[in-house]
Amino acid sequence: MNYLMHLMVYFEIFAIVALSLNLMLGYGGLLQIAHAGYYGIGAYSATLLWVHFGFGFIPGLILAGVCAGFLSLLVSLPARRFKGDYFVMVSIAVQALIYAVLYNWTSVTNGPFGISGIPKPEVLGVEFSSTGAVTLLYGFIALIFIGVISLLKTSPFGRALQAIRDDELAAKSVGIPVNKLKMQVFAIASALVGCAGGLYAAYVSYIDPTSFNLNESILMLSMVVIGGVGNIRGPLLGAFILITLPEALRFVALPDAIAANIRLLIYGVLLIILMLVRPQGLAGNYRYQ
Amino acid sequence: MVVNNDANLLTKTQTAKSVIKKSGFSKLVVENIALSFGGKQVLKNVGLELLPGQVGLLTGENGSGKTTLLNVLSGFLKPEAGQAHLIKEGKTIDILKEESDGLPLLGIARLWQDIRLFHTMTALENVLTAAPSIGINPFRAIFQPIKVRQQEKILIKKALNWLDIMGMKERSGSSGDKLSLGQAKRVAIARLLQTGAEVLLLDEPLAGLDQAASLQLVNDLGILAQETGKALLIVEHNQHSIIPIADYKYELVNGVINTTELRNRDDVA
Repeated sequence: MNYLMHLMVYFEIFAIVALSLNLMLGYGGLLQIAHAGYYGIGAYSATLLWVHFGFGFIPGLILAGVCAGFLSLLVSLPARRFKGDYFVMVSIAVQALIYAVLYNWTSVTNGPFGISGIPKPEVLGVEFSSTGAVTLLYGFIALIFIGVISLLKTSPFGRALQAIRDDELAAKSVGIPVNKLKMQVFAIASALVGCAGGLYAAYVSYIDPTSFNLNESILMLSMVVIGGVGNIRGPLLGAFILITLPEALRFVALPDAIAANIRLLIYGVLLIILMLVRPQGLAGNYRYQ
Repeated sequence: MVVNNDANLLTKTQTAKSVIKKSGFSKLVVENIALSFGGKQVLKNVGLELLPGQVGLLTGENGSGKTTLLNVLSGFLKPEAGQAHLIKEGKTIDILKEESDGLPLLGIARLWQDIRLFHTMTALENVLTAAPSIGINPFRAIFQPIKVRQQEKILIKKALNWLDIMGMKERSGSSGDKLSLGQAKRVAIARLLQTGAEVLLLDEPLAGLDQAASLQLVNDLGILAQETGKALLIVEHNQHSIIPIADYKYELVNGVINTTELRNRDDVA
């Protein structure tokens, strides 16, 4: 039961991650490969605020989101005209940079050894120390974030983003401020994933740079793409599958020596089949075919 | 009646003031535009003028620079020399200094030759993207959802009205990629109208339409210019279709415009 709740907490965190990435990818049409980087920035800022500066859980979490959002502005200002492939290149570079900083700035991040002893979430004097309690708290927070994201999605802001994704030139020609909106959605998505990073840090109580590398970014992208872009249920489904699938494969009886490799193989084959059979993702909107 | 209701609702949400702006421009003046691509002078000394309600026909051979001129006037290309101003409500807007995504709300919007509807949206949503809306600010979208929704209602009404004027109200729920070419063009024109722009630049609106559809569209554009006071600059190969509604014929030859006034336009046709 504890194990299932543990998975549930991961699902709640990654639901926020996948939905925020979907804002960029599914609505803004921006292929973001540095999402785990901003997730890491959020995790580390929240951790430092809690451990060294004695911030409360919620204020630390919010500031972590602000830090990640602010960093995205630092990236998007010089890359104001970022488009398509160039944005992908920039985001790979940013991912590498963030990882390098987390790994090498030992005086602040403790480098590869990571930071341990991160306090458990505490809201209004109540400490959420058991996995069950964290499941409830994170579920509540995830619901708030889902609400915010659906508000954005159905607003004129969401519609304008969708227009940019469909046809950037046409969007400009009807007066949509394309660059400004891209910066805004980038900042919002980064802030949301920064908060998710803080949630992760508080739950596992130990962070090190390997949780925020390129592989994690690709896992996040896979969640959105497999689940389906452009709506809410797609990324949720994607996050659910990519969290439970590796766990389910644990229960397949395999010889110990080759188990790990076979699991990876099954996982890879499933992904390929999925992409062949449903290129728009499991729950992607049919219209986007 | 409908218009009155709109006005009442709008004063309530005051932020939507720009929506009710009447066609307030008085003149489009373009002078001495020059532009070359890789040493070839495409536009040498181009000038034209349009007043409210007027229709200008911009014609010329393939490669004569018609679309280039449209790109200049819609902010997508910056010329090497020349001026272009939109005079409205006593203010002079320097078109060449503005960004392409700012011009539609200042008063100049264009129709693309390849239409460019947003294909994942319905006709109505396509038109709605063009409305200047407070909800495009994500913070207002999150923190003032009710206000945004109120304004949205007005914008939807307005969009349906433009779709109705273009004869596309029945198809407002159709997806952008399910419309025929002629229907898509009409939706795209409704989308331009929703921006509130007073000068519409139309790049080959008749291309690919059959005789009957062309006639109908030209007729509707003529009525639109007359009744709303919008000025239209229409790029068209097939000049005889447009001449019946045009006030001026601007012919681009070797980078220079030859202007022909078509005052008695009905007789010319």
